[in-house]
Amino acid sequence: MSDDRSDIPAVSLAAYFAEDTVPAYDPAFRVAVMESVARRRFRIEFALRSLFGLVLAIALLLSAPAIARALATNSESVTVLAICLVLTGSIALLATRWIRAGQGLPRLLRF
Amino acid sequence: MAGEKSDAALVAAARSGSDAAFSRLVDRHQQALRQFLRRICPSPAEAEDLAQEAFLAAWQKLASLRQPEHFKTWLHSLAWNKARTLARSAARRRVRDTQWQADRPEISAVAADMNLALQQAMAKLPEGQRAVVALCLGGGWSHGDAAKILEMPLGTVKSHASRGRARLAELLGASDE
Repeated sequence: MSDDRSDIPAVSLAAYFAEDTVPAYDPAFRVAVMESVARRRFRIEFALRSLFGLVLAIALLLSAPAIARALATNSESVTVLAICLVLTGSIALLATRWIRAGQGLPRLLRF
Repeated sequence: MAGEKSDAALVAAARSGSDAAFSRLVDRHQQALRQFLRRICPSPAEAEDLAQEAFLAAWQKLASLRQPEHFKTWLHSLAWNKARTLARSAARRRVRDTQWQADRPEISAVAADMNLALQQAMAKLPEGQRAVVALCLGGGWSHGDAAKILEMPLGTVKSHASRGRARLAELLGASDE
């Protein structure tokens, strides 16, 4: 602290402030804070994974007719379709990671 | 304590995902922050909630902290901004609380309970003055650091400290030499 710190002129005034009682070590408070951090982290993680699931579900729904057609025709189409599905999943995963990085949060828990 | 990690080291560890490091930061700074908030908030319960919210905001914004060694100043600044936002959004409730405070017995009648007397006296100070008094008189912060936390000019902080101290001494019946 610099030297312009406020000097306390009245002892009695200082005594009033000294009476204020917040413990130097308070495990209950720390637990409460870390609980709220865990809750916030869970909510963010849940939202991101839900987003990932949603994107994947939409992609699968849209490609369902093509899948059915491919299964009914030949194996070459199935291979092409499998590649498309893998690409779709990868894009969804990368998008989720990009959003997470944009949050600038400390590293999230891995389930 | 020997071997104790600096705030900057703990912030770096917390940024890379260490909950233990962040909880150490909580342990280290909770007392100063809660005392500050108790002195500027209308009720201790509100101060406790705000303190938790400030730590939560700090965790979420760790990546934006430019000078990790100034974690404590930054944390107080976050808390102060939250307290001001809350105060603005709860203006109507504050009027009611102020009325309730005014209806309570005079400070001299409860002088035996110094905490209560201090809380009542602090509630009578204007917002900025209260914050400066809480930091400089209560928390031992320098005027310069208080100016950074509260985003006020240094002259204003010095003026608030001087006037707030005099007003507080008057309200508490304490000497202000």
